[in-house]
Amino acid sequence: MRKFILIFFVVISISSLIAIRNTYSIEKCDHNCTKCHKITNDEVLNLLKEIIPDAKVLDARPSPVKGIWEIAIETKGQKGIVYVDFSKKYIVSGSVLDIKTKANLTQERFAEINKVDVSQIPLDDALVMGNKEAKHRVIVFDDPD
Amino acid sequence: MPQIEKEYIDTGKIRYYFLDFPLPFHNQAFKAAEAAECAGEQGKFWEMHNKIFENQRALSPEDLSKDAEAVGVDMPKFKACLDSGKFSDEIKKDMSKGQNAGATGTPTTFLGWVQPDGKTVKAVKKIVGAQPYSDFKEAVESLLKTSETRGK
Repeated sequence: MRKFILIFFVVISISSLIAIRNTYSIEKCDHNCTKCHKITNDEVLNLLKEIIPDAKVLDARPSPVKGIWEIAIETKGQKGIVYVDFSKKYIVSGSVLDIKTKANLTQERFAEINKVDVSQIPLDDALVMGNKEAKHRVIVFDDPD
Repeated sequence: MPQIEKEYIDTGKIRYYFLDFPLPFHNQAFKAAEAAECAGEQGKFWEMHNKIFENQRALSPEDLSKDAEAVGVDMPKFKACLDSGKFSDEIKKDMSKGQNAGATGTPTTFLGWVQPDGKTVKAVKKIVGAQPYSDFKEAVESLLKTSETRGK
């Protein structure tokens, strides 16, 4: 009986490892994840529809973390980042931090997708307040109604 | 606005630009924007702007006149300005700038910092809609930290 249980566990373990290897295998894909794994915007939309129903998918690309897609979305006029694993079963919301450099990679990408070149907005007619030399700018478009 | 002014504008940390973006379906917004510009012609833009934003439910021509009187503008000049629509084109120009920048609702706030060339501004954050002050503060603090990290 003990022998049978042992064989059973060995078979289960090997099967699990094969399954994981097939999902996240690196060698098979020549260390290029996108060679073996694909995701389309429509697929992401389908995955997100239960959680963020009104999300628009702007971009899907491999994230800095192997085995996870980085998805840029827009919802209610706000752009953001979520992650989807290669098995397409899980959505991860939160920040990816680089342990070595301590950089918040999610925040950096967030800043990138929200970047607007306001040098294209002529500010000559704008009403201005504050220090002329201040390096930081806040530009507000508003109406009083 | 008073908190933003006190904590970030008065302390010289940020420079604040205001552009008119009266939404077409806000019936009284355009005239109110013109009223603030007309008061601005007499050096009272911010006083009138604050007054209008304090009483956002009262934007009829009579209300705007009361506000103008309260901030101490020369009333005949103010009324002549408002009737002439002389700032109408300027407001429309602001609206078009907002549309080009991707503003869809109000307020739309862009936060950024001056680039090394000293002339252009790189916006790194867009806030759509009226958000609690704590959200605005968090965004500004994050902006200040990021630019400090980058040594700009």
